[in-house]
Amino acid sequence: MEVKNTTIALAIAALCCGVLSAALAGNAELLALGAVTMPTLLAAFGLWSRDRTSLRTCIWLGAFWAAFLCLLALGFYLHRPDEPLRLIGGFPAGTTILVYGMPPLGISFGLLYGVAFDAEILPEDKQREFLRRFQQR
Amino acid sequence: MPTVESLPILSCIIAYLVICTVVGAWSMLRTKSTVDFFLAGKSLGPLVVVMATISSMMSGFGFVGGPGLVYESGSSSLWISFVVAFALPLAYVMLGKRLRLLVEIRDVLTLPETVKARYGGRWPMLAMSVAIILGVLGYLGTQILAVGVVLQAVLGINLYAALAIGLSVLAFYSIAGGILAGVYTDLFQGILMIGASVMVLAYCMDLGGGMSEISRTLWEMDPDFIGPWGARGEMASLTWIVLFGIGVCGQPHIITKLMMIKDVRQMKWGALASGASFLLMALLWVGVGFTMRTLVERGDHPPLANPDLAAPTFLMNYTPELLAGLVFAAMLAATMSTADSFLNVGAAAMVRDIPKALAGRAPRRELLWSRLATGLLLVLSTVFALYMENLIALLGTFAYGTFAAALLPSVAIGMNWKRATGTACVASIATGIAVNFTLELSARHGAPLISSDIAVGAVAVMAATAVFIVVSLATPRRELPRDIDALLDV
Repeated sequence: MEVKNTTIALAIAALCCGVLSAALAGNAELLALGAVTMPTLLAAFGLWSRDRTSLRTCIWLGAFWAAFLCLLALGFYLHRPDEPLRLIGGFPAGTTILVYGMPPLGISFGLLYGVAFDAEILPEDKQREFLRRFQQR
Repeated sequence: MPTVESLPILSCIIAYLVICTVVGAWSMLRTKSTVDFFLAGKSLGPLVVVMATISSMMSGFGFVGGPGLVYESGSSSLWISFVVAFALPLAYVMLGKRLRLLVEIRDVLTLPETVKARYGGRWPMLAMSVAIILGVLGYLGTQILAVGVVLQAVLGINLYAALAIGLSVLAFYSIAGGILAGVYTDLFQGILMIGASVMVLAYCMDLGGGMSEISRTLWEMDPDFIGPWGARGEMASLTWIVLFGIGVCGQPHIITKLMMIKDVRQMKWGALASGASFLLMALLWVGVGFTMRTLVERGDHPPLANPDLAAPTFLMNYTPELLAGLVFAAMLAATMSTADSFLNVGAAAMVRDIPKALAGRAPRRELLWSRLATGLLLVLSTVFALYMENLIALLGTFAYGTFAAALLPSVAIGMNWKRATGTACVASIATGIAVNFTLELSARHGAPLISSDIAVGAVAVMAATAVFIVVSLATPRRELPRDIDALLDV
């Protein structure tokens, strides 16, 4: 766990510097990239386990990152304040992406936690063994 | 200032204040130890934990400040409400099982004690306690101000009188009942608010002529207001994504709830339930803010003197009296129970954690001292809120940033990384607090060090996290006790 998480920690530290620089320089595109990558990396940090993390979880993390990035990119691309209003689902096109795209993304994160709980996050035998060794009497 | 003469609304508010007093008294009878006072006896079921978590997250910040922020700056604040839907599961991922299992193996009731167990030594615990007290003053101020605004609008009295009434009930409820009082009113109000939010949204759509008509009106006023980034622009929205997308993992009123669940395996669907329930509650935040602004733009309602009055004004003027009364009562419940959570973690830091860090043990008669500290925190945070004179949501954002910057690296990263060190913990907490307060105070006194578009808390949390990781790698690692080493491997 340690070596792998140190690699992810270094990536997080580098990303923090990148996000800070993008924010202070006023570069919205780079800031958006950082804003999407940061929670994804932290989730990888929390979910990673050498012997338990499944391919499904890795794919989900990649898909989460890509979908989130697409949402932000579409937000930039579709917002045209100088053009006539184009409504999709009751909202201007760029806002529709936010309103209908973000909630499923959040829900999918919770769903992954539930689905992966028994096998990856806290296998019952590991919990039992841990508590047997260390639980306070 | 709108005032209410409606009997149903007044009855709901008065009934709620009486219920709070009764719950406080009932909880006082059940609170026999510090474990009961701080961690609700580690006996809460999953539904109570989910409702207590999202109610604490939403609170006066979301129910009163949220609509105000939408009214003032449009879609910008949607990013706060929507990213929390994945930020809550992220807190479960990073901290859920480890915090709950730590409570099983060590005599740990608070976050500073968690930090002491993880890093050893007195300084990390002391630094964490100070950070919590500073953050509590800001966040508690947000809740107190929200209580004042709601009571001011409903009872038609001035803000100071409203604060005095709200504080009196809050003081009894928190000092007597500890966290038990808070979590049980959270359960009641959480369920009520999910239902009420859906119903209020229906009234919003009806009044505004549907979402398309609302969008057209607001687009004509200012296309950016209803655009994806809102009137505050893309930099503000993106830094809010950073702050709120990861900052939940540093909010003590949220993550300590994870320590209260009866059985760690009951967390399995908690992440999903928290995210989904929060989204339903956010319907009120979004719907009321946009509709109220639309009504003002169309000339159907006079402009509001203060954006924070958006929710109270809408409820009193445009929803059935009984629904308005129930939502007001639930708003007060959300706000007071969150204030109760903050008083709880703040009192623990003052009475239990700082003495333990300095003298190695908590004082005798700890429960009595905890109750006295609760009263002191109430007074200090009221003074702080009146000094800041911010919109509720902006004051809340500042306090949220204080917690995120100070706690996220040491707790969320530290509980997942064996290489993290106590020196790094102290350095990151000091960095987070210093950056957050320096940037906020410089802006308040007319000499901003960064663009006003950027959320100060996001800068602070990035700086603190980078410092934490770099200092951890630059300082010698401590040999972890066997149980903590195993905990980080679970």
